[in-house]
Amino acid sequence: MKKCPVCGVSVKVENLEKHVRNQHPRAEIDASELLTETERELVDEAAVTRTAARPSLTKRGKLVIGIAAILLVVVLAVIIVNPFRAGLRPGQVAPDFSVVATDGSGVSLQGLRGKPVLLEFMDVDCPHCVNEAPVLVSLHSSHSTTVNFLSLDVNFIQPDDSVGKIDAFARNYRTNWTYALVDADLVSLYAITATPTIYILNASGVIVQVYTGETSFGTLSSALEQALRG
Amino acid sequence: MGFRGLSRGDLLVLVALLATAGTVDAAYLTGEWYAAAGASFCDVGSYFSCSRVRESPFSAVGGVPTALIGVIGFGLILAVSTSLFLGRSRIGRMDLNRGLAVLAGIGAVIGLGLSLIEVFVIQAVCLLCAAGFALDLGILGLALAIQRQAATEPQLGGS
Repeated sequence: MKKCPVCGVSVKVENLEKHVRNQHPRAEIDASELLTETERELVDEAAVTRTAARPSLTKRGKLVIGIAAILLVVVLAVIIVNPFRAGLRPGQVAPDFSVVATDGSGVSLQGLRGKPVLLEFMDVDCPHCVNEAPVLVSLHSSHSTTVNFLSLDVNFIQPDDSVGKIDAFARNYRTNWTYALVDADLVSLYAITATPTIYILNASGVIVQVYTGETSFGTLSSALEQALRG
Repeated sequence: MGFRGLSRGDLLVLVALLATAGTVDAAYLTGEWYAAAGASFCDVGSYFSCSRVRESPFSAVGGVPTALIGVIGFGLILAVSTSLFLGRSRIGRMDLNRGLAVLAGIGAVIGLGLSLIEVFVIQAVCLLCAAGFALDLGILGLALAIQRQAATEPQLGGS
């Protein structure tokens, strides 16, 4: 720092000439004489250092950076858009399956035809399935005579699920419909990748809607009404 | 020059590029975590499933999504690499070259830990998480090369 000979304010040495020129344009001072020779050398050296410190890009580097940028955009886009995403779509007939319910009885999807089906793939350890339980309980209380409810535990989340655990879940959340613990084959058949996934089927077993994640009462209710209409 | 003929500037821009991709990746995962549960974009099957990873208890630490920590980490790396590229080699007493290597090392260790949890505990792999880990490793390699260059070349660093 050095004091300005005009106003007495302390100014960085490298900024002194600029300060005098800009702040005191009428001052009768030769700006070139403001710094000693040593000070000027230091200022010049600092300026060179500042310029040299900014690294430069090479031609090869620019090429590599360009290729890397394109690759990154493509890879992220492919993962996000995901052309390999699997899943059943509305309009398809839901694949038939048979499972053993937690009460020991056999249940097949074919056997549930004649009424719409709310088919839930869930996991008792999944917090979103816990959140969804009261919604389904409300739906069940208003549609228990017209719609079959079936919940299948896919055991996605550790620790492992068991019939006892599922029964405890059903008792705890008062979900009074059929539950079964299913294996990976059924998970693959329905391409389940998240819980809860809810399929709404009409009386003929055709998929009317598929919902993944927590779904509201209104949305599911509308889908069931759609399924009831055929 | 070093790292297969690339200059320090090239390496820094590459780090910034990878860090930008990492920030975008982690930000998307954070958004997914906060959004209502749904099938993730990167679900290819029940094994390659972001959803399964997201619904696991390891997806958040104390209510903070792990991906948000990734956003902060990649963001810091982006800030440091940009500062270095702009000619700033220190902030206070902190050597930014070393800081970059340390941040990259921490990121890679966290990424490795989360990847091992995915494979052995959750038994599902989130492709975007794996991409984030790959970016971590890339940044670590580049950061080490930058630090090696900084150690061997004369420092012209500014303030």
